[in-house]
Amino acid sequence: MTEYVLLDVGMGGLVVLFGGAAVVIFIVVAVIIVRVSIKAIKKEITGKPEMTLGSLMEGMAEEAIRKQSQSENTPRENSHEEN
Amino acid sequence: MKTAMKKIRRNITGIEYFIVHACVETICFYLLRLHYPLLLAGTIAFVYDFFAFLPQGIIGKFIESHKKLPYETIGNLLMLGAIFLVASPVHALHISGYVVLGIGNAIMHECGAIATVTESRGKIFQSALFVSGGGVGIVIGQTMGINQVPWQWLIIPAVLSEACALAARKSVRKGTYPTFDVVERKFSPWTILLVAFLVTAVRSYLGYAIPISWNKELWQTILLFGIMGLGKALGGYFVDRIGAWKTAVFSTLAAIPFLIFGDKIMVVSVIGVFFFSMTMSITFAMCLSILKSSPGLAFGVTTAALFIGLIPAFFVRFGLLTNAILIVILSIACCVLLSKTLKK
Repeated sequence: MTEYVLLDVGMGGLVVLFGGAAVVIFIVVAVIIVRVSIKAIKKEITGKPEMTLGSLMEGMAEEAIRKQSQSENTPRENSHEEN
Repeated sequence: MKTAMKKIRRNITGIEYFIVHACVETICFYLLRLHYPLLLAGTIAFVYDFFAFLPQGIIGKFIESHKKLPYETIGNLLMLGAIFLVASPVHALHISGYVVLGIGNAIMHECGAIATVTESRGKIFQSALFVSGGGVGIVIGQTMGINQVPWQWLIIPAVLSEACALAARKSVRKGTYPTFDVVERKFSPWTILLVAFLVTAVRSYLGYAIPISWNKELWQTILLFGIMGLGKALGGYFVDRIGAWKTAVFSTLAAIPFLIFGDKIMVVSVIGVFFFSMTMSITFAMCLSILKSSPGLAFGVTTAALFIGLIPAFFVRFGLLTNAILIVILSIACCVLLSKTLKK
């Protein structure tokens, strides 16, 4: 009898444990999904590109290329005018 | 004859995704009813709905920005995998099967939303047609599942879904979308999205609260879901013809008396369900009017709202009178919100 009671308590404990863990996982996943969705909507509405490390580096690289091509073009343009 | 063919050709993407949607829901509802009635039926439905409805916005956004992946095939393969998992004799695999099923369903829905908006030419009818296909699938899937039809039959809708989705694959990847403009510009975009979200969530909840004690036979269920699908499709048609404002106000108010007094009388109830289903495409059009360059995200807003509206149904059940009062109050609230935010 005692063994059965202990088994019941044990099973009940497991159900609570797994059930609780499942609820926590669901809440965490839901929060992540909602946050990412809101971020995407915000980006759509404002139309501003999101500032991430990747986009920042991309932007810096583009800027560097633009400057470099400008400095390369300037003397050639001048020489063209001179000609 | 020529005109009919022309109309079919103009709406071919909507028709293709009507079939895809019907096939997808056939598989989903077969699997949801396969182990029914079960102690875990509520949990299973909740897990499935969570993964099928909530992440659609993110999935849609991903599809729009990464066009090279074969999403249709991925979605159908996930659903095929889910069939094997859920039908397997190993009980521990069932829940993971429903998670996979939900994600596959979400991918297919997003492909449908993006494709039909791309080919819409600024009209909502094709999207409404795509959405209405779900009702057909629900009836077929439920009937097959309850009658324990061998799961191998599901290969047919899976193959049909893949064929139709592949036929419309270019529409998912075009990347340019027509403009929708059904909302008043004096409100902020967030207000419009919030209203669309609330109205969709309320409609989702009311879908479970509608009293239909007349529904006892299989043919009655078929009729109910058929009328629901027809209401959704014609809702889109009327939005294009007479405008979103008129369709929203008329259908929301007209549905109330039929829904309340239709508990025992099938014909009355069915008319109410028809009007009630017509608002489906309006909230999507509202989201499209705000999220112009992202139909996937816009569709995701409405499906997330559908999920939020479903949650109370898992935990609370009200009596007939409380349900009737809720239907009246919530329907009038929705009508007021829609009439204020939609363009006249």
